[in-house]
Amino acid sequence: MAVLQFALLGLGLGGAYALLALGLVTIYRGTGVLNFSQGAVAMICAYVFFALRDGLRLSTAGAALLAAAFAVVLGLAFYLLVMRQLRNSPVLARIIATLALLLLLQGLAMLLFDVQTRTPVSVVPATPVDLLGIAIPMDRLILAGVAVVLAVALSLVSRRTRIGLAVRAISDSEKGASLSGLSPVLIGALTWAVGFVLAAVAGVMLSPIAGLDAKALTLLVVPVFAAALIARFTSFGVAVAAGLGLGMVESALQLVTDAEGAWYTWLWTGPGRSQALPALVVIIAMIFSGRLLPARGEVVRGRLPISPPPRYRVAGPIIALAAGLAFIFSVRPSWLSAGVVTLAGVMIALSAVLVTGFIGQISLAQVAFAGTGGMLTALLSSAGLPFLLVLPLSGLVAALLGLLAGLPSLRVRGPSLALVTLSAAYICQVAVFSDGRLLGGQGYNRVASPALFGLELGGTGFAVVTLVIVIVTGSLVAALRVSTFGRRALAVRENEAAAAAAGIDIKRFKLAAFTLSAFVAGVGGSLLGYQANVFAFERFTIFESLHVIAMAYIGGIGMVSGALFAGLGASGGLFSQLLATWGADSYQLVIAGGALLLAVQLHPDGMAATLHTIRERRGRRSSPAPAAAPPDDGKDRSAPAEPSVPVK
Amino acid sequence: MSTRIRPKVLMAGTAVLALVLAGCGGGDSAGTSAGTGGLKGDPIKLGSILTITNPAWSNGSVKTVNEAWAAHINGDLGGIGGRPVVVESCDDHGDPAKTSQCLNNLIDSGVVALVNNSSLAFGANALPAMEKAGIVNIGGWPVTADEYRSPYNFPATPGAAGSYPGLAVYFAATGAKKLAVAYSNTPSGQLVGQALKKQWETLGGTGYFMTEFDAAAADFTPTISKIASERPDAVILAVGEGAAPRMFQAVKNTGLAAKVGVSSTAGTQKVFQAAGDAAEGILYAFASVPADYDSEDARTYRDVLKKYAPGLDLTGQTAVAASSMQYAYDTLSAVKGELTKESVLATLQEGKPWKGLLTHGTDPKNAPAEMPQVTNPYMLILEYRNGSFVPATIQDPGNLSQYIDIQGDLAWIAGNPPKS
Repeated sequence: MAVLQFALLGLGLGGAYALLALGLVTIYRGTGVLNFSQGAVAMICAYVFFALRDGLRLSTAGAALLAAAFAVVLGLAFYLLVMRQLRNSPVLARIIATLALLLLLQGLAMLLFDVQTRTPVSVVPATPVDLLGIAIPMDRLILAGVAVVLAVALSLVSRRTRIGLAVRAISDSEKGASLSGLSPVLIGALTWAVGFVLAAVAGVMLSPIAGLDAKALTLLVVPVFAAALIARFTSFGVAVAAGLGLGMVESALQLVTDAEGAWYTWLWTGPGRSQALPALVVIIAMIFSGRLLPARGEVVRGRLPISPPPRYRVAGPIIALAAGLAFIFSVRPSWLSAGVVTLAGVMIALSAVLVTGFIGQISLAQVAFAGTGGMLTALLSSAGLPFLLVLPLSGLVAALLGLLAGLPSLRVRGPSLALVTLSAAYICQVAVFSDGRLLGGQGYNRVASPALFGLELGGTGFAVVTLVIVIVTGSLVAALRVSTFGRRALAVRENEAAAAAAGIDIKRFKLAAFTLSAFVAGVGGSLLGYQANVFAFERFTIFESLHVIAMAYIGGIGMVSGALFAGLGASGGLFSQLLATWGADSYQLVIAGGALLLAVQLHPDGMAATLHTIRERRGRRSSPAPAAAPPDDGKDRSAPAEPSVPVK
Repeated sequence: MSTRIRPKVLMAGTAVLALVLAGCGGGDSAGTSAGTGGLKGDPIKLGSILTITNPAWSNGSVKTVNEAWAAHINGDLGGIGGRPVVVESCDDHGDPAKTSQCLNNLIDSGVVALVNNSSLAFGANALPAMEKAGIVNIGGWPVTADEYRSPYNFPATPGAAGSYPGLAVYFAATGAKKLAVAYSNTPSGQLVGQALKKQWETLGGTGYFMTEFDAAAADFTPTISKIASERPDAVILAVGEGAAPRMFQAVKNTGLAAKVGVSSTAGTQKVFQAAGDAAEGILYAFASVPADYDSEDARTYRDVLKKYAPGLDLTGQTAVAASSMQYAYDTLSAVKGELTKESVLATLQEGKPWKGLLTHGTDPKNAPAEMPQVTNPYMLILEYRNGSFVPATIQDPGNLSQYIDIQGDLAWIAGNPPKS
């Protein structure tokens, strides 16, 4: 079949990407936020629409109006109650707030609606039409058409109406726009409402094609971001063209990406090769262009959470060891397993503390590094290598991947780097971890039981070893923080130009951070493999990555104790086990999402950081001393109150 | 100890104490079956790990059958040795972390065996732990390659991947020369594609094409169009209930002329309602007889579920679940001495054939080479026509007749010829 014909078949895929990307661009233009929950909003609005149309038997028009109203209310509520409060918060806090909304909406969908995939009747005709010799269902063509029409309409509104001009003014200079009498809050609320209505349109049109369930549209996050990125989160027309283009190319690629081939064709044959394309586009575009997210003239410059020097560097590990041993030797095996999963989660979160908390590089690939460690563990342990060798080797291979993944950080920062690392993690998920050929001819993923000096480690023994490894790693990370490396890391984090002027080799520093953090994450993944005796490739998804960074952030991503909080909240960890014991595990997503939303507002720097701040204030009140040198906690106290030039 | 450290120690201690108390305490999150039939002895606990809350596949009906058949065993059959049977089901949501959690919690609660495991995540994520714990699974619906090879897994039917070889034999026996297969982009899916390729060559097929799909893809039209462009005579779609309607619609939209076959998990009312006339003519591989079949087993099945689970929609999945529960009952009843996980394993390892309930009987001597734990590889091929299933006939199987076992008016097809 001709390439063109196959490309046309991708209009359905492309239409999905295009429609969702329009909402992303709208929200970014109005408020500068990367909305990871766009797919989830589309999903919940679709559920509402089809419940009204098919459940309550309302007319299509009536159901559409009510669903649109729901989207408007949801958008306004989310902006006014959450995002507006986070305007002065670190950029990562705003990303995490949208992740929290994603979890909350998924959880609500599973509780309120039938979670099984449904295929509702389309709102537009779906009979096949013949186009250049192939049959394409009409609804795909209509979908693409709607995306184009919406893009044109939004572009016209943006250029020709006062509201559109106001949005552009706010984007260029928030302070200037405020001085002119424009309300950033009003504009923000409007763009979120419109963005969510666009998501609703996408959800209603896509559900008959993609299926309607709690996960369907949320999983399109990477290709949708790719389309918006190509449009620089600015141009509606380019976003739609990019979305349609990506879908068409992905479809056309199926002509060459066969299911099997000789080993030297593995780059383009095998599972997930065509799905990895949008992620590859993101990475290449970022590396070559250096920056695709336009700068915004915000009043408050984005910053990262504080990273105070760790206290109790001696007492902390001792307490942790004592508490851990007490736990290990007193609980039932199911709780012991949950405890080991928690410890492995702490390791992975420590890697996030290293690279994001200390050095300020927002990496969403930590779980992918862990997955690499897990995969190597399955291969090496099956080859008969001992536990003590497999653990560091797995970490080393993950470290190599970390070095590669760190290369884009030399060109991009902040949310741009977040997108690049997320794309790298996505490629690992769809094209590496699920490729059975990489696990040996049988796709075998078992991990031999760990043994120390010839003695097989039982559940308790392995738990003790894991506890010791995690405590040692945590202590080392804490020691790094107060070392010269740590001080230089904070310097790089706060102001790269100043750090470079002070003689720090920024490039080597960043690469070292990625490499070291990937090593730690790789060891965490290896421990997970030994705990389950299997490389569970489905555990190492981009959503797990987002989950880890969110939990680490809430705990305090600049602090070792933040990693502890993330471990507790790991999938299959102690918190999950507690919910299962109470019979409340079906509420896990709702609880996690709701708690994250609250926590990110109450503790925008993380809970551990809030405790640190309270302790500092108490300390100052109880012993008012003459002005001392500014504390070494990573806060940028030299930053002026006036808005500064937007930083890359 | 300094006053600064004391609050932190207290907090850590309190947290540990809370977790220890929770960890030492009893209680489980799994659903337990009611209906002990008035039997007084110590209950015999069985566990069942099911994917229920998942977009792609829901086994809520299997949980219902677990409880109903346990009530039947207790109320009508007198339990096992006078002791009631209790089945604790755990929904793993198709999540790798949760499936391990389900297993660990069930082991802690003292189950002597698992029964009817029907999970998307179990085989790839928790099976090694089940083996390490020395617990067997009886019956159920295997999904991954490891479940077909594990010496601790004893399915009474071929399960998901085990259905497709029977379909391949049917297609070969009805004259197909080129077969196309679409499987999910997972390691298990890839093994399905490769195994069917080898089998198709053995069956004398001259053309084979395989492709993968992402079950979460927004549109299946490109995948099905790719298959259509290969002009196969027959197509096997290794697709589950969640994605089946969209797959069938894509088949219809692309005008794919070949015969299409799927496993029975995609043969539910939800799929037929969603797919509409796109489901017409699809061939299904069932491990069990139709619910309305005229036989003593089928009557027992209908009567038990009418009594203990009225209103339950009877599907291929509920039939396999009932068969598995009966298999568990027969196995546990045959255990000599104390009923422990070790004695259950030993009884199953004796390798005695089982006559089956609604299913073909097992024959341990004739397990397929690549699926050594599947001792019943036989399927019935039924076609969906005008709202019901009709047997798909084979006029002249030729040299493939050795794959077919005629019992009464049923033609059971296996994916491998019997060894004896």
